[in-house]
Amino acid sequence: MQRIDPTQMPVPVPTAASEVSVSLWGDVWLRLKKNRLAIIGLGIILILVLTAILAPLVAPYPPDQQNLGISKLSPNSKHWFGTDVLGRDYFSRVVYGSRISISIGVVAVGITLVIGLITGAIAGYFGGWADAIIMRVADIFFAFPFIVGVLVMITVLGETIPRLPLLFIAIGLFGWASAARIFRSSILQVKNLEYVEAARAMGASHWRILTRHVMPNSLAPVIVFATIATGTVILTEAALSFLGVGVPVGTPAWGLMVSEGKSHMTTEPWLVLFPGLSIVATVLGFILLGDGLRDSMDPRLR
Amino acid sequence: MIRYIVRRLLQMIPVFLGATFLLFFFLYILPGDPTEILGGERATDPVVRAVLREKWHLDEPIYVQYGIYMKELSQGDFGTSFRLSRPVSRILGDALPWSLKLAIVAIGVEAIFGVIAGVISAVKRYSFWDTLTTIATSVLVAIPVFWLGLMLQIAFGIKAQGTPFELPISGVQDGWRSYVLPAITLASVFTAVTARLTRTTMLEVMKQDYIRTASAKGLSRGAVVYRHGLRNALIPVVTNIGLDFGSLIGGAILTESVFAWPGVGRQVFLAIVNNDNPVIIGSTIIFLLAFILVNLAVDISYGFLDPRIRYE
Repeated sequence: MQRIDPTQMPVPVPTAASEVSVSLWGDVWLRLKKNRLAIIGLGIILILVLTAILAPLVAPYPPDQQNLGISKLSPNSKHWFGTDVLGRDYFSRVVYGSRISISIGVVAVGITLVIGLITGAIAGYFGGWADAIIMRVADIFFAFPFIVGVLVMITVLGETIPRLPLLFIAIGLFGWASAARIFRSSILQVKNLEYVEAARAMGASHWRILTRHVMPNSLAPVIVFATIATGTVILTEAALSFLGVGVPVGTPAWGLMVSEGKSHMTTEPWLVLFPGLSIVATVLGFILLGDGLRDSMDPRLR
Repeated sequence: MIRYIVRRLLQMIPVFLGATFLLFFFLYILPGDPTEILGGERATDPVVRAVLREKWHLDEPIYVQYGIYMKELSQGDFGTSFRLSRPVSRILGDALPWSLKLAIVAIGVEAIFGVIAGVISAVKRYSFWDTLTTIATSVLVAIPVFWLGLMLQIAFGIKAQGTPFELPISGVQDGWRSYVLPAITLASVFTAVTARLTRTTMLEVMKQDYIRTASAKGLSRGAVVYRHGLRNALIPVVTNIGLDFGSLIGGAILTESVFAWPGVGRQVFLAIVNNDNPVIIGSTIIFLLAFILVNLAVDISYGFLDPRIRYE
């Protein structure tokens, strides 16, 4: 989440209703459709979301159903991904794992965006003291080693706050600075354009100018950021669970499954292979879609 | 120039103080009582605990503890580990060289493979190699670092046992061979980012007028690409690689855990799990300083790399 370079983000595309017959988003979609990798990414994400929603229908067995008689079976026709040490069907556990990854990705990025958009909008639009204070605080969070911050917060508050909400908050708190920086610079480019001045001349309030004119036209880079950040947040959750400070033990989450399968990886490598491949495919989907969105929103590529 | 450096250093002070205070704030609301670790077997004795609380200033308010810590830090004293009863400066002094050495090797991997892949895909745009680089860089960014480490351990540690490709999968006992797998693991994401950045800037530079001039005056394709193209494209690439050095030191927690690498990342992880606050704070300060100083060094080096940039 920290590794996204704001300069790589597209400059915002102002909408001009008289100039084009399709809307901005219709235009973006037209170009996105032609990008094969982006469509593959979108396909992966759709399959994953459907899997997460329909997990009880997709999974052939309950994810927690233990049967020590069939412990550590290699992949076969009844158990496509084999079984784990406790004889649980590994395919079913991998299917349920999509729920954890998707919910962490969506909620944690949502929190990041809410904090980042509010602070970035205030800093960019009003400038002056508000800008100086907000961006100095953002500098602090930007310099702070992300994974150390999240790890400390989770171990410190792990007994007072349930794990999942704590993960959301910790990732949001240590990740908002990137979103704020990107949104601020995007707003700076939009706020002095003619149509904003026109709105101001007509006596529109700050709130109206900000929410109706400036923010909608500054969103493009943020959407690209959010898409890629969803992928990196899923990676972060997997890493935390792998280190043993993510989701609670026993949860079917991919990072935790890799961690639990680690001690058997010499003899039962599929215990590490399948959850790992699921993480790669999921994150790849978000990265491909994010790259495609960036290309189709960038006016310089027209 | 001197004024610029001083101004940048002054700007860094609030970041440093803010970040360390943030950490103090989190550690201060820690529910666990460090005297349980400090007291060892006598931890149940209330007198022992009271003495320890006094000695470690644990009953003082957070800002007093912070003030005491900063005063001691300014004298080079990082405090003493709760868990190991060793000076934190010694623990980190032992660990830091291992982190630095791994980061340097990883930077080498990143620079060599990232730049070569980026240049090839830009020069042969839309070719097979370009598509391969685009897909490979996306996949590399999507692979969890810890999982890549485990896969390399299976491939080169377990499956390759007895073959010439066998490589050590943990610790640092085997000289340069110990570095191969951890360095590849640590460099993976960074290499992908560097390859993409090289491709983008290379494509941008190759569109410039002076490239057309160079071609027009009859220079060979190689001379145009490397002498006129690459040299100009490398400025943002080099600064980006420089910035990565800071992230490589702070971002090695996963790699160091998978490969049992005795660096700062492993120390800070052990410290976090064991509530060893002095080591957590000490390591974070190292990471912060690495980030701040690397950023400053990169900003200053812009001026040397690109004479068009002036700091006034």
